[in-house]
Order: sequence, then structure tokens, then C-alpha cells
Amino acid sequence: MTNRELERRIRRAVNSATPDIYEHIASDSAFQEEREIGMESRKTVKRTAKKRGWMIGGAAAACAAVFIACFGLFQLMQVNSGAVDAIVSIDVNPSVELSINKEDKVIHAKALNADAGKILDGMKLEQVDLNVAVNAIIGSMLKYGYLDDLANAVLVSVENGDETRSSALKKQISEDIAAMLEQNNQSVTLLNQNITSDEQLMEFAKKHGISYGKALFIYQIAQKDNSLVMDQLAGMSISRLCNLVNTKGILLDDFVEIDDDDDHPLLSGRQYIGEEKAREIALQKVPGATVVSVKLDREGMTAEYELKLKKGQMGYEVEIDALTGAVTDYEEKPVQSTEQDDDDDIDEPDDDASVSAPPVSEKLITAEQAKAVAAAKLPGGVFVEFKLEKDDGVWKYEGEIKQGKTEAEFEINAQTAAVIKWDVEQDD
Amino acid sequence: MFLFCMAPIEQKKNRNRRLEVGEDLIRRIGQDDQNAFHAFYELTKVSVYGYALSILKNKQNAEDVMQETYLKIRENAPFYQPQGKPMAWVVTIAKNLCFMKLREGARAVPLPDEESESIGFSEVSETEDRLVLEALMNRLSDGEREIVLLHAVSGLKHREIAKVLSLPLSTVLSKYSRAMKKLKTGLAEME
Repeated sequence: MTNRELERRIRRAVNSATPDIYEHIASDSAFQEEREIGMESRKTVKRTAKKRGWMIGGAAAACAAVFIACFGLFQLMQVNSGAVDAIVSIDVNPSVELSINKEDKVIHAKALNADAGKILDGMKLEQVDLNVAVNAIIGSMLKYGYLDDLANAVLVSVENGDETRSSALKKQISEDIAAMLEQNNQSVTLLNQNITSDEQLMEFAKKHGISYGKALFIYQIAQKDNSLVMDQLAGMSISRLCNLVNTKGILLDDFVEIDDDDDHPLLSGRQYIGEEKAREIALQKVPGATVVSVKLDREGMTAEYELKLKKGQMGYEVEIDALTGAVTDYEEKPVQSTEQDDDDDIDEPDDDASVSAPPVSEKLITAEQAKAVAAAKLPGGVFVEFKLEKDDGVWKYEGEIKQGKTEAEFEINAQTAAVIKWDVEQDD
Repeated sequence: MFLFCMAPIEQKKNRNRRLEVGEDLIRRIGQDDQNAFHAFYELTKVSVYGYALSILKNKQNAEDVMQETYLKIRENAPFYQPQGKPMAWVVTIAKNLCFMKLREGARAVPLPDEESESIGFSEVSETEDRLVLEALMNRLSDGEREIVLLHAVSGLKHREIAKVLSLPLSTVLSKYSRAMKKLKTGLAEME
């Protein structure tokens, strides 16, 4: 039986098991009912959120906020009401964009992605004070688990032509978030720079459902390390990005002016010892072993690195406090001869994968080599997209690279390294 | 049904069979267009139910989540941002609701034998379909089943699955091919 055939059988089987519930969802009453329940649960949101905010503060979770103030960008935004004075976007993983007027009232709240749609969930934020709106949004993020002691970074971008106004807004929002999380040790990172309008980045932001501020943040990260591809970064939460930045050894300070005038905890993730350090500690505990997997997980209210190691016929599990580096748990047991399965990610695709993994027999150039070919044609370029695909029987690296206002779409033959396609586009 | 009549035609011109859910439909749902909602439901119901079932392994809970998913879709349609991937949007909504359901379930005290009860499909009349469903439910790990359903039924590309589930592409590929092998072996044994 081929995979195709099996897939067809699966489709038919699932189809035959699917119940018909259209009547239940089509009636307006069902819709209304859900809305009311939604309202009800939102009232509870505030209560629980407050409580959790406090708990998190108590757990010294160090919620970090990264602030980007974008000056000179404002006129580029499409604003349909002349009353809009500034645009504030909040990215965690949900991305929300608030248009506000001079009186700090929200004129329009826009969910930029599905997660944000869930966060806003029909909330009426129009004509509401900015601080109330920020409270409601952060509260909702807490309720849905987008913010907790592991994922605790918020990117706030303020777009307004006037520096004083932007700073005031930034200050106000930072205070609101801090108050919401019931804690005073918050780090604020500020990026002050002149941003030239960049339509390609705007388009990228729109395509990926993120704010322009986050797109810019990602662009700057990708510029630092060309193993990073922008469209892969776009889906990551700000916390994951901060962690990634740490593991890659990229200094945010290079493009973000870090405001660390007192003993603020550092950016999210930075207070953790990091995966590398965790490996080191585990290997001290079990010299000569190989690390099979590392996972950052939560044990109660503390974050821990869980490592699995192997040495000969023995398997080891080491748990390390992510903040202090202390070994909190240690176990050893013989490796079972049965196939280790299921819960561990195996990073090598099976050779016979009929799907799209390249067969080992075909000698392909590496992703790094392909990137070098593209980067040679556009020095200093950042990879917006990059992937290996098989097209008409030919393996190709396809992608998009961007440098300043130049963007090129390329295809590189993965066997010969020849450039098959190079389409340059200028943003003007 | 709609979806399955379309699939073979598409398959001919395109190796990857895609579920054609127009973003325009979602826009119209956002404007409370009942017809658009119905069409959308018909196009996606098997995906939504199959996906929920793959995670929850309980027919009643899957049906509940299916219902909640469509209400949520209707509610959130005005916020939808066209990204060219409406199916990924639907799956994300269903996924979140499934997890909420699982959390609820974790709080409730489980009935003594609920855990061990394996799921049956006596209501499905075709023997072959029943076998396939049982193999899916009982032979695959949760992660494998989720990936198989998303690819075979919802028509998501492996790349998109990797994104939705935040897994490396290579993991999705290897789990998928392993799952397909397990199913083939399982079905051969059962038949």
C-alpha cells in the first residue's frame, strides 16, 4: 500500500466518523450564548489575572519588557482617522496593535494574529483609556497562559513622530505592565533609532501576523547571525527570541540601548544559566556521557533544565535549576534494549521517508554553502526565507534575501550550487 | 461530499493535495454571512473533528470541541488577518480548545475505568473504515496521530505542521513516515 493510498483511506474513515453538528452551531442563539459565556469569563479574567500576576511576581519571575520606540515611522502607517496620534503594539506571541489619540484613548484595537484574536476575544477597547486597555490585554494574556514564569518577555513598540510623546507613552505603558504584574523589578530595554520606512518589512509583518516593531526586532536579530531565517523567527514568541538570542551569543545591546541603571533583572532568559551551561553541569555529574536531550521545563514555580544522558548501557536524567545551576534531581537506570520511542524528538528523517527528505545518496551542498552563494551576490543580506525543496526532480535551496532596500528571490541548485534564479526587487 | 470530490481532481494537477479554504469565506463569515459559514463548515468539518479526536481520543469531547471551534471561528472571523493559511488558523483555534478541554479533564476526577477504555467505532458501518480508525487511535502515539491527521485529512504541508506544532521539520517528517509504517503494519495484521 502506498502512502497516498493510505492517506485516502484515512480521509474516508475519518469522514465517516465525523458527526454533523451544523444545526447546533448555525442557530443564532448558540452564537449569542457563547458570546455571553465569553463575557462572563472575561469578568473572571481580571480576578484570576490579578492573582496570577502577583504569584508570578512572588516567584521572582522577572518579567522583562523590551521597548522599541520607532520614530519617524508614523507617517507610514495607514491611518484612516485623523485623530490617531500614536500606534502602540504589544507582542508576546499574540500581537496586538492599538491606535490611540492625543487623550490616550484607544481608537482602534487590532488583532494581528489568531492568538491575538483569542486574547481580544471581542473585548470592546474602543474609547477606553490606554492603561485600562493594556491591563485588559496583559490580563487576558496571563489567563490564556501566554505569559508566565517561563515565557515572560513582552515587546512593546511605540510609533509616533514626536520623541517626547513616545517616551511618555513608553513610560506609561511600562508602568501599567509593571503594575499589572504586581512587581517592581522590571527591566526596560529601549531602542532609540531613526527608522527609515521599509515597506518590505511592513509586508513581512503583515504576512506573518506580527507588528512592525517585532518585524524590525527580528530583522535586527537575523542581521547578527545568518544561520537565522526571518520567517522562522516570526512565529517565535518574544521569550523564545530572547532565549535564542542568548544561546546564539547575540548581544541585544548592539541594536537595543539597554536601560540597566539599577538592579533590574536582565532580559528574560538571560537570568537562566543557558543550555550550554546546563550541559556542562550535567557532564560534570556524569563524565564521559553523551547528552541525548535538553529541555527547559517547569517544576512547580521554578524553571529547570531536564537533561537526558547516555553512557554505555546506562541512561541518566539530570535536573538542574535554571536560575542557580544547582542539580535538583539525579537518576540513573540501565538503557532498555527496546527502541527508544515517541516522546523524544529524533532529528534525522528516516531515509525512506517517501515525503520530502532528500535521499542520502544524492550529494547535496549544505544549507550553509547555499547561503554563502546567495550572500556573495548580496553582501550583508539577511535571510527572510530559506528552504530546501524538490521541484521537477531537482533539489533546490529557495529563499529570499534582503539587504537595505534590496530584496532578492533566489533558487540555488542543491547539487551543483548553480544559481538558477535571482530576482531583485527594489523598495522605493 | 464536497471536500472529497475535490481532492482527486486536485491531486492530478498538484502533487500536494490542498484543502481549498478561501480566505474570502472567512471575510464573509466576519460579516455574518450564513452561507459562507455553512460552506466553510462543510469544507473543514472532517479536519476539525479528526484533529480534535486525534488529541482527545474521546468522541464526545471531540464533538464538543468541534462545536466550540466553529463558534470561536465565527466570533473571531472579523479579526482574521489574511496570511494565505486559513487552515493553519483553524487548526490553531481547535488546538487551543483541545488543550483547554484536556486541562478541564485533568481537574475533573476521572471515572475509574475511563482511562483504560479503548475507543471503539461501532457506529461506523464500513469495516474497512472502522479498522483504519481503530488503527489510528490504538497504534499511534499522540504526536504521530496528530501529524498524520493534519497532513492526510487537513491537507497541511509538513512545513506548515512544523510551524503550527512548533516542531522541527525533520521531526515532523520522521514521525510521519514512522506513523505511516506503523499503520500499514497494523492494518495488515488486522485485515
